[in-house]
Amino acid sequence: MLKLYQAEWRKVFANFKLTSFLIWILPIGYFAFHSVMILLSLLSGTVQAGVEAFGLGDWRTDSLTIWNMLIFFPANLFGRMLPLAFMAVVFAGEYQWRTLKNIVPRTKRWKLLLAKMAALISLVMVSMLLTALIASIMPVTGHRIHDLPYGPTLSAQVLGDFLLDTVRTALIALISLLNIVSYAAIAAILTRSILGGLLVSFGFAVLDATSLGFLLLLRGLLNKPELINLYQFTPTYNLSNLHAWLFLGKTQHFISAGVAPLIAEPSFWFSALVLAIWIGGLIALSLWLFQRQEITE
Amino acid sequence: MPAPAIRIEHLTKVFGKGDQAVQAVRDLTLEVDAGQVFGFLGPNGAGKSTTIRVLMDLIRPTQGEAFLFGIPTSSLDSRNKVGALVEGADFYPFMSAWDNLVVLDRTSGSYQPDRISELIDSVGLSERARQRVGGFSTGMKQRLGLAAALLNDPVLLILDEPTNGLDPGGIQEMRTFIGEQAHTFGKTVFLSSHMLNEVEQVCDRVAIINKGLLLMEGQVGTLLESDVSQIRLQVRPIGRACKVITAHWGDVLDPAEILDDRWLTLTLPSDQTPIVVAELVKANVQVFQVTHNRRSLEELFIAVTNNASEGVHA
Repeated sequence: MLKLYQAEWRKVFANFKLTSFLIWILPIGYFAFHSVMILLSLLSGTVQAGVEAFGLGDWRTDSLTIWNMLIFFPANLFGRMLPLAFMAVVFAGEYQWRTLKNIVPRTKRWKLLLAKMAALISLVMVSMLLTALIASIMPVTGHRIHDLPYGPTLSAQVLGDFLLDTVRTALIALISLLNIVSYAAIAAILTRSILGGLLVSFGFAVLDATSLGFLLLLRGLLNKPELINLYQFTPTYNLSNLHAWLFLGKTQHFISAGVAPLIAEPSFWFSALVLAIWIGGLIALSLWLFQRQEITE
Repeated sequence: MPAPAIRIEHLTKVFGKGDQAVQAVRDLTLEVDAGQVFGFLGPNGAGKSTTIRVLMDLIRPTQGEAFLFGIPTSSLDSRNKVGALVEGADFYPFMSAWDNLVVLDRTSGSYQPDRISELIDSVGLSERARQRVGGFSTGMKQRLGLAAALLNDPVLLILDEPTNGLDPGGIQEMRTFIGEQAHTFGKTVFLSSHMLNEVEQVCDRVAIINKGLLLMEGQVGTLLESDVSQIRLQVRPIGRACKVITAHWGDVLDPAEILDDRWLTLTLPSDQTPIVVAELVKANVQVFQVTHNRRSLEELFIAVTNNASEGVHA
């Protein structure tokens, strides 16, 4: 399985154009933006004022924001699109490049799909980690140049708390990535084309991110107020709820518009279970579809 | 007794359902013994690639079974000793030849840089090994495809149209390559091809399929010998010879092939030759030479597939 993972990693990593546009663009973009702002702030007082005003005022919050873009609605609507596009292209590319006929006879299909998922997720996580680092280091550097504070000074306590928060947030982001990687796999298996894979996986992700709005619409159309409670079983809600329990120690409430929620206070473990069922189910579905699929191209 | 390299039993493959259903392979039964070079022939859409895809477990049979070395093709173990080039050589265009082979090797669960290097050399791509495959010609991709098929040092090579897109030089190289794999390295080769001249030269046995049905299967020599062939005779006097032949066998003489008042050509099963000679001698015709104009595999293929098509249309 390790060699299979290495093979998938090598394939993904070698697709330089794709990774540059959809994966490395995040850390490179962050780095370039902050570098330009720092340089301009040295030349112009107006830009300097802009740099001072830019950011959330704390390097820890800046660093975590990039992970949160994968978790919370509405940021996740856009934050997940780049990794999702990347994953969809990689899965569907195997069909478009007609390369499945080379690799499928060499190993078990389930191993192939899981190794690809693992390689894709690891690459996105590396990119997110780099972006999170740049998102915290660059604003601090910019402010230091002008002798301005930006968040607390680094100490063992601050670093320890920050690392713990990062690990917790990154884990929830990882769950979100597991969710979208299965969307990408299913879309590619069903459509067998890059364009089709992109469109269908975007469709899944948008439906997931906007599930509350969708349920509100459905509730209105069918005149069944209790339908809104289904939101408690969606990935988007449960990702937020996990985050709320980890950071605030309480349930994430949502707009139930006068209807008593089905579960009054969904616990951390409730959300963990719902997400496990969603992700396990989606991955199992993608494996089942791929296992049964006829490779005719 | 060792299991045959390939055994296909009553294989049927149907694509689609209801009115859209297409029967790509119909009740195909075939056996390829280890050590043979087996030609699998048929026109476009005959079911050759479908059969090969079943062997590689890329698609599943609707009915019947297929085995590689006695192991069902649905098991990964059946393909441990098999290398294949299925319907053209396709690779990741953004990766080098070297990286493509490394990826395939690792996908099989191994990593043998020396073997990859040796194979790249053997297919003549060492100077282009680090270049992106996207810039390769069809012939170069085919050669890389052969290297990929040989990665696991297989004892059975399944080659689906390996000469597609190759120039005459490439076809010659491919023929040499197949012969070498079979006769020098003792590999079994299952070769699907349109290049009948190539097949005739390298294959021990052939099977001809059309519209999913097996039409003919056997040793190349036997199939061609047993078939109706042209017999050329140098005789004197030719007029008496023509009378004798027409009296015994009817309209088998080709008037256009009566040459120099000495040569005549007739179309008969080759096992009739001694009887023809005996009858001519009995009639006091002098027989100086007898030669067989054996049909080529191409002629046999066209005759067999045309007959089958007429049968289907009838």
